[in-house]
Amino acid sequence: MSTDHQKLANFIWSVADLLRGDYKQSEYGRVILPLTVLRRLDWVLEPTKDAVLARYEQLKAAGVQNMDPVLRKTAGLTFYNTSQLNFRNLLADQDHVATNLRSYIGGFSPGAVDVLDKYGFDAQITRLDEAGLLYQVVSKFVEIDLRPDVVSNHQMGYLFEELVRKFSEISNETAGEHFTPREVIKLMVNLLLAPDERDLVTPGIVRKIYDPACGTGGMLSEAQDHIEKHNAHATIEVYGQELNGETYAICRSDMMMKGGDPNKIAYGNSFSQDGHDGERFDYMLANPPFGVEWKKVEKFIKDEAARGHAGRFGAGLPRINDGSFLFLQHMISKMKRPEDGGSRLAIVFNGSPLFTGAAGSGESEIRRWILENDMLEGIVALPDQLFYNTGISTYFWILTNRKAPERRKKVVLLDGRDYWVKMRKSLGDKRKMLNADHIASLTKAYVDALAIAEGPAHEQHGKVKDFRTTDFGYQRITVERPLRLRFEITEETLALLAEAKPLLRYADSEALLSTAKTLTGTAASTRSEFAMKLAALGKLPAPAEKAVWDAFSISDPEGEIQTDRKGNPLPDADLRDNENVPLNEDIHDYLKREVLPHVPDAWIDEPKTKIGFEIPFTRHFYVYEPPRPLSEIDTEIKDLEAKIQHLLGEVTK
Amino acid sequence: MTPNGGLKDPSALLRTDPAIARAYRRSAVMPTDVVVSIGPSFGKVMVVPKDLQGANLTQGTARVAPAHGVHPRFLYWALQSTQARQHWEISVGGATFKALNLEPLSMTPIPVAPTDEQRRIADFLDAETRLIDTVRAGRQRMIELLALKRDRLVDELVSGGQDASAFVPLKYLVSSVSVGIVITPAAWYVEAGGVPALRGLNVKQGRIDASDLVQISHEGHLLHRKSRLAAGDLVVVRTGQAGAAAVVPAELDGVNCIDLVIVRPGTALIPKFAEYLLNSSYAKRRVSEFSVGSIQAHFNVAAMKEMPVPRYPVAEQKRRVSAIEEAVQPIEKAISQMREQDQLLAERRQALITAAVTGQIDVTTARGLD
Repeated sequence: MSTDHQKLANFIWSVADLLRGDYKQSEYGRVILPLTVLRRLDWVLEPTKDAVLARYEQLKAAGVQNMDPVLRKTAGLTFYNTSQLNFRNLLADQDHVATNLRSYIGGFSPGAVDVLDKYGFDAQITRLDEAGLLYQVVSKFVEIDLRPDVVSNHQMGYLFEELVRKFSEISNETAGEHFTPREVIKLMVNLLLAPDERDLVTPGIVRKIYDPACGTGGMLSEAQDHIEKHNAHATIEVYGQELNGETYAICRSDMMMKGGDPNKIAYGNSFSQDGHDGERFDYMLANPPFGVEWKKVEKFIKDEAARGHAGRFGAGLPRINDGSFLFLQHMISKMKRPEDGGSRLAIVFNGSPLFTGAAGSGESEIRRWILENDMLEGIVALPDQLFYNTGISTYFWILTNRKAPERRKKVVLLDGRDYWVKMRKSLGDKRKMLNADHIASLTKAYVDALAIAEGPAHEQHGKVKDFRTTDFGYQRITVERPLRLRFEITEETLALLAEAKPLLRYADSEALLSTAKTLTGTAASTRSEFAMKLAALGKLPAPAEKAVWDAFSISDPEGEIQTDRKGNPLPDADLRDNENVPLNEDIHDYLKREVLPHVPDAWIDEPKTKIGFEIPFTRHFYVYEPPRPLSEIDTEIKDLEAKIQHLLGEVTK
Repeated sequence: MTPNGGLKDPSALLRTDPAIARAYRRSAVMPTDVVVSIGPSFGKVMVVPKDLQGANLTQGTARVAPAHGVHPRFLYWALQSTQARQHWEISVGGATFKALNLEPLSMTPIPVAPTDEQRRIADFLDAETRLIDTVRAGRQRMIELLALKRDRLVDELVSGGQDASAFVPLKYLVSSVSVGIVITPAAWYVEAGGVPALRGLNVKQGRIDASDLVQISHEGHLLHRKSRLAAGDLVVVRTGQAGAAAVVPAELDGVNCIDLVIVRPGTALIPKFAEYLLNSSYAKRRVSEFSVGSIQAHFNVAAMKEMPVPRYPVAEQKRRVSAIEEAVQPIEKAISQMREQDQLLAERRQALITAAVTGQIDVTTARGLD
């Protein structure tokens, strides 16, 4: 990678010196980025500008309404500008730079204007103008030579990313919120594409890549670069969507400057305003925000979920405070059908989607659907403290609907938590980074996962495991035990009766309580015996009678087993327990083996059995380190003590 | 800087560019300079090593350049004498946090001595303190070893002699396993007049620190009948120091608890034995294996219920508890005496520095000079 773009980026950034005092450092990007975009677009449009203007006048005179397609064609680009002004001559009148600049921007085609709009650049024009800086700043930009034959689209992409990075790093408040570390993206792209390496060198292939939470587009660029490096004759179309206006503007202008089609970057919420409805992609990747609430789009999503698998969320819905799985389901819905070539996708998650949600919950059902449909290919655990905005542990999930035959019905877990080096200087929460060796070695481990998992001699054997998709499933059974009671009228049980709610609504409660009081000391070990003793209370309405029984019944492990009318034992809610039984095991065998030896009277309430799926990643890689043997510790203690004794002698001599 | 006048981690030093370095030339250090920390943790002193020539200082540190005729290592020791320290203690300023200013630092009283004598004193203190520091480090290591030994003994005595495959899920040995108030416990907090409630931070391994109990309202206490503790219950930390367990003592009978696992032993398990068992490295391993949580370790009731534990008759548990106590008490006593000894060694070090720099002991006759 050349460093020319870095020098140029440094030069452009140095214009920010003019802003010192009037702008905070963290705000420099709001001026520098859109102006860089404007300057580049102006250079790119210059060769065809006269032709576009002539064509525009012609069409206007002819009263043509939709000039857009023709003007694009005239410009030879996906955008154009119909203003008489250009970046250089808008400075001609020093007193009206703001007006001229606005008029110039107004001349851009709709897609391009939208970008500048989302940057909120209009407000910056006002601010610069009021601070008396507008003329100076714009003049500086006039000097910057960004002609396409001097700075290629590719270099322009690097340059702009460099500026975005500077901007992100300087403004700690936003750093990383929409910025995935470069090396993390590299690894992710590798894992996504590595198995297809052979396929990707085919000349003339066309591949569509999509990121539904694309931020500034870093992942899309990296994936595009990766393929193009392998195959100069590949056509890569990148699609994205971004919720944050400013970030969206950055991403879209980056696309424009690289000569891509900016219209493939959509603005808005991917769930409620899907910018690529009906589109399908070969590859998808995303680093969606972790644990973000989806309350704002709740109605929309619930309505779609109600349509079952006709919508994107047929498998289930995650809890309202974590939309991670919604992103994944959204991406799965955009997979190409296997018969059309299928798709691969990679997504960054925190630990929650692995295990959050009990059997039968939305999350568990989503995991179940993914695993039962054999879409999960692998999960890679990353070191913590890798991202700018959070130090928590993260995982790549890699899904595909075209698994290699040997990987079918299998899931690979790769433990990459030990692959990192400490950063010389931390950036936000980022204290660790992956180096090129880590990336290469994790990529290779993922590609060769099955062989490594089978080969105990392999040095990475301890880091790779393969499972059957069904290994993550379990049957959650409800184990009941009989309700055993004895019956007693004591001061305590009388107090319970007095507090019972049904009695508060019973007109004759005073009489009932005083009669009951006369029976203090009455006890029975069976229900029938106690019923006879209670005859003194007379005939009671059903709620009051129930209250009496509830108050005088005492749970007792030695008590009489209570039954329903058919003679079946009633369960004791306080003794209710659950067990997770592996999916491939018979629940009755399990009960017999694991439960009945300890509680012989237990039974399974079968209608309550639920199927759950979870991926206890860290548990599978937990390695027990046995404590040192006592004798070893003792030897060390004795040696040390002798040395200390000697030294103490010296100290106090 | 380390407390002993060294540099903590040379690779962690921050770097500036040459332009900045030129602008702050006044605070660049020379190899004979002494650097003193003057921020909130003021009082650390070091002599600048050769390879740090020209390095710069941040605002929490001060450069003290010895005058002609003052030996840097003597200055280094003099700045650590009790007189110097006491002078700093009475002169520290700072409205929000304590800090030593340059002015009082420059007024630090330093004994006067001929240069040769300064060198002798510095050599003497270098040798003597190195000896003391080595002993203290050895003792520190010894304390760690003894703690390790203690844990190993407990491990062997709680589960030794039993095959792990014969272990039984805890839930079958106890009367119940439940959890304290989990959902918005803070909603029930009151300043005074409520019912005390234990939290995770009150529970240490094998003991309860009741010095900082929160209180919940009587209404909250009534509503959370199930999390009321009884003497003899075990409380286990769920979040943070997950797995630390302690028996609830009689004086805390009836208090409530927040976000702790409550194990009520019943008749098959005696509380003290259960406490040793749950704090053993075997149990710790189970806890870390089954702790989930994306931010910090978090242990849940279900995992606690399933933890396989050895099953012994009550009499056997009692025997094991007394065996543990017999084995552990001398170790704990030794540890506490070593800590006392460490205090004495620290005191001796300080007294020695002060006596040497003020000339109260004649270092030429004292040992340490060859």
